[in-house]
Amino acid sequence: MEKLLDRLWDGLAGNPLSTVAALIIFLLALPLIRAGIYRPPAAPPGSTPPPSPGTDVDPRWLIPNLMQMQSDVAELRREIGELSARLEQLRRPFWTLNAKVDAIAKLLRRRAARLAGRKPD
Amino acid sequence: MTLRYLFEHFQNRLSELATTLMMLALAVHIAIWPSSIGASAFRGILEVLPETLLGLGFALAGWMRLAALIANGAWPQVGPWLRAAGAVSGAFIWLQMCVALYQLVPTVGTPPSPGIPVYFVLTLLELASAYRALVMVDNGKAA
Repeated sequence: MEKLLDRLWDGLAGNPLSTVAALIIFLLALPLIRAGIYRPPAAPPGSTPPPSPGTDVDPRWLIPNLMQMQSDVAELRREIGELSARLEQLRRPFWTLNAKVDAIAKLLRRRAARLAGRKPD
Repeated sequence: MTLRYLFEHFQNRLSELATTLMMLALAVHIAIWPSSIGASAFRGILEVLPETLLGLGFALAGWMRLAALIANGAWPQVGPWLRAAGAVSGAFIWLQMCVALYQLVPTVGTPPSPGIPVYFVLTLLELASAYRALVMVDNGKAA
């Protein structure tokens, strides 16, 4: 092993480019090692207090948000109603329009017959 | 064990797994054909590292990294250090291989090998892996 390490050292010393490459890696690794050493210790599991079983929400935040949600829901309901009414109009059967046309035609025909049947003065 | 399970286990450490497998495969390769490095374009690396040390280093670093990657968060103290040590040794060896390819240029008289950028990026990737293992680790959870 000592012989292998001696050869590694000799190789690095005899080859400047390899030495520079090894030094670059060493210098880049140093701050990483330092960061690893001074890393804050891991918190042991279970040291954090368990969450309270009840709902723990700040009412100062909750109440205005709930009121805003309520008004939003009312606005949405009104818009949905308008849209539904418009859709209902669009879905009205075409024969209702035909019936109106038929009634007007019938009235016109009746009027024409009456005018035709009237004797001239 | 499915491929999905493997992806979920290694998550963002797949690049580390890939370089680990490269190291292990190279260790096996050198064990089977010890003269393969001397016969390849990487022969310049033998001036720095003999085949024995190269093969042993690849095997040791590869197994160490693979064990740490499989254990994942189960070794919160040792795991990141093993991964970082493997990554730094990987960065060292890939850069030495890059240098060996570069040093071949005046000898052979051909343009630089296309492997140079590949091994250089592998070096950067290994340094990034070491950074993730040592700096980005979050309270004992593996990064």
